[in-house]
Amino acid sequence: MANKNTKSFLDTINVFKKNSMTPTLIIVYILMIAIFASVNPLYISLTNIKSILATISISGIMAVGLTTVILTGNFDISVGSTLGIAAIICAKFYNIEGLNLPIGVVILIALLAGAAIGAINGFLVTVVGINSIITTLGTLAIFRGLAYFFATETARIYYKPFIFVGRGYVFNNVPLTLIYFIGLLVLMYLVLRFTKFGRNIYQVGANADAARLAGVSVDRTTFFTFIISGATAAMGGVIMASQLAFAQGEFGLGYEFKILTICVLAGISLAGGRGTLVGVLVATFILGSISNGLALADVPIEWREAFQGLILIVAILIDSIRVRREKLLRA
Amino acid sequence: MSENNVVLEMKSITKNFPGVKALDNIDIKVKKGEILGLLGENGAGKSTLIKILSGAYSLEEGKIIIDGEEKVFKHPHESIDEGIKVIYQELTSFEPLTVAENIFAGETIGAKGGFISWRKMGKKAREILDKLNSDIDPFKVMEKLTVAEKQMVEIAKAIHGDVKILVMDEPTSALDEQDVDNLYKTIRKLKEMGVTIIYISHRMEEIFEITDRVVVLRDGRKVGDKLTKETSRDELVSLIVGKKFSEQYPKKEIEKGKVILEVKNVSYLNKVKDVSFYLKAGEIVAFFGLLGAGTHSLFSVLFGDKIATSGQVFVEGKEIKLTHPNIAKKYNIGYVPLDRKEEGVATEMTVGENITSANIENLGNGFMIDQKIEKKHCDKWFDKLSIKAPSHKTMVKSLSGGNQQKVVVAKWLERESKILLMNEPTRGIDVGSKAEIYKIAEDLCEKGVGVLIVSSELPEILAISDRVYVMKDGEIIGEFKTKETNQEELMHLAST
Repeated sequence: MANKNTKSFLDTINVFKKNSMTPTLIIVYILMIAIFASVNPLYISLTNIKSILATISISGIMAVGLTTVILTGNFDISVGSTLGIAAIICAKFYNIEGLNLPIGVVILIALLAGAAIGAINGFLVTVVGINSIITTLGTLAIFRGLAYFFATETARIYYKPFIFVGRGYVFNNVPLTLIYFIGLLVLMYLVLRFTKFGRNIYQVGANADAARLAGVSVDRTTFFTFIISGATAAMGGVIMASQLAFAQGEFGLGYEFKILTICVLAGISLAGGRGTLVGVLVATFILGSISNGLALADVPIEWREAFQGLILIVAILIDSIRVRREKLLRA
Repeated sequence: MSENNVVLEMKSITKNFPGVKALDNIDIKVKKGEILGLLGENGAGKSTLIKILSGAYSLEEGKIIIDGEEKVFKHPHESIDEGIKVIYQELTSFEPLTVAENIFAGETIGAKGGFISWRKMGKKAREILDKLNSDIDPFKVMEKLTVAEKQMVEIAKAIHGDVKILVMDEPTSALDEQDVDNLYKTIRKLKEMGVTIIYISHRMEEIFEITDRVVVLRDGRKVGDKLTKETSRDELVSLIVGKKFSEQYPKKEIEKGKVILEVKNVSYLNKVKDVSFYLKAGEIVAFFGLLGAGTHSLFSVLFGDKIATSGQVFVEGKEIKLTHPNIAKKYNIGYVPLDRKEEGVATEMTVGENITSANIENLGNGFMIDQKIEKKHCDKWFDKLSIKAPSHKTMVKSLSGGNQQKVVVAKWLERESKILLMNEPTRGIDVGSKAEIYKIAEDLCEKGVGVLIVSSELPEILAISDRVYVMKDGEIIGEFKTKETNQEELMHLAST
């Protein structure tokens, strides 16, 4: 009896069924750890693991948000600029002379700003009807420009409680940022899997025409995913500002690439409608561990970038081979 | 016919699709310079036959013999090399490129050291177009041409190089009368040049105007092969439609209720013109029309997917403004769309998720989907419609066409729709599933649902409907009680 219950529970969670890529990823990950550890044993030291866990969360959180957009068949490349803007908003609002805003309010403003950028993207994509890549390519440039404009010099935030947000640990070893990431990931997983909104996201991405003819509000659903993506990108900005205790116009430059790599590696289909956040979890760990491992193996920083690009192409290749094979099997 | 004159022979061609015999032992011979009309309803096997001839489908049983030599085509370019060219109904031109580039697609004309000579390409294109008496500018961009001109370019593309057999699939469906006349001239010219033409059309007058011989297909079998001058319109129509179908599906007498849908003077652009009709509870009303008659647009309007430019729609006596499928849904109108894969199902989602897709708001209170309620709903329709799949967690893409269609229907039964619009509900599904879909429609009528159906299959319309409206050029041109009409009358009205 107990056995039967467990089974149906696992069936409900449906972790691997929708994402054939995840099991492969896990195997790749284990192999990778073994290789890096043999090159440099420090790789599996507690300090290093702590450092990996603390650094991956920013990309992970942003990937969770971007995933919702990609699932609807759209794309948001403005996430890196949104991160930059949010970080600068934190620094600027904290430093307004005489106002002394509580740090919680400052963070809230930054997150709302991110959501607002998402709303602008969403509006342009759904109401105006511009292709999402073009829309967010535009907002990417606009908000990067604004970030540079407002941060002509490095804006510092020397405030312990704020720094704790990004650098704090619980139980001495678990970074707070990891808790945010995992918390958000679990929350969004449940939203996607068990709520009407989540179901609509998958429907819109799987077949927008069929969704529209089933009376689903395709535009409203898409709009909200952009808001989510904007807000999570802003979360990334807050954490980055807190970890470094300052903000700069360059913050988040090129992040869209990093986050996209995670989503593709995670098996989130760029056509929409397919993929789960379980893949995002694993992919975030893999990508974070790679850059760290390459650093410990003394690979120069330029090569690390190149390596990440390679990973992206290999991931897309695996995905397209899988799709092609499925097509062949169907024909 | 003398054997040495035969340019193409197709011998005992048979093609099976999962659950359907698409072609059954077809024999066709075509002579050089002959214009052969290929007739048959949708699903009769015309396209399948053409796809086999063009190499788009592999030949499983039978032989294709060209100029006395047996050929096996594994890929469309192999049949093109043999001089078999097909002009599909949906033209496949490169819109942003010039006419000349389209005519010579895939070739480099007058190339020297990797550079293309535009001058030579233009000159050669001019020569080909002159042969067809066409004055289209070779350097005009494709997307600026009219449909008729585009078709001319397709023909030019087909006849440049070696063409023995030219297949034209409903070439007149988007042309006006003047253009059709020009097309006839072009076709006759091609005939003079010794090109053999296989001409597919639904329109009788065209068949009699242009063809030398006609072959009629029905349910994948060849049921007629006549010289055009020795046959009559009535004979062809009865060959096309057959007789037995309505006898296979005896219609149940169901009591009719009040008028639940009334449409008054609805127009949509120039596609639907001033259409008025009504539908009673328990009634199945069919719309029949040839391609371009406006039946599909009318249904899109009735479901709020396209917004009527004028006119009124009343549901149970109340006027409603159909501006979005949401509104139609709110007034219990359901819609089984024309293209199942594009508009009906999300193939990458499960059967269950598809069944409940139009009804998510009722799967529990608040934000959450209540898994128990969802499962209950799925199980109910899964069993009732006997959807053949391992479970409701199966991906829709692995289902057969008939079962996918049941999923689409289930989506709207789940919502307890009072009015169900079915656009070609049995297209591309096997005979068994067809019968099941009819049965579902009948059961719904017994519960007081009104069903509107668009179908291009007359036997189907006669078998299941109570009344029929015939449409042409966006207008309703006839209303019949199904019992008091027949296939010949309807086909005649729609095709003249």
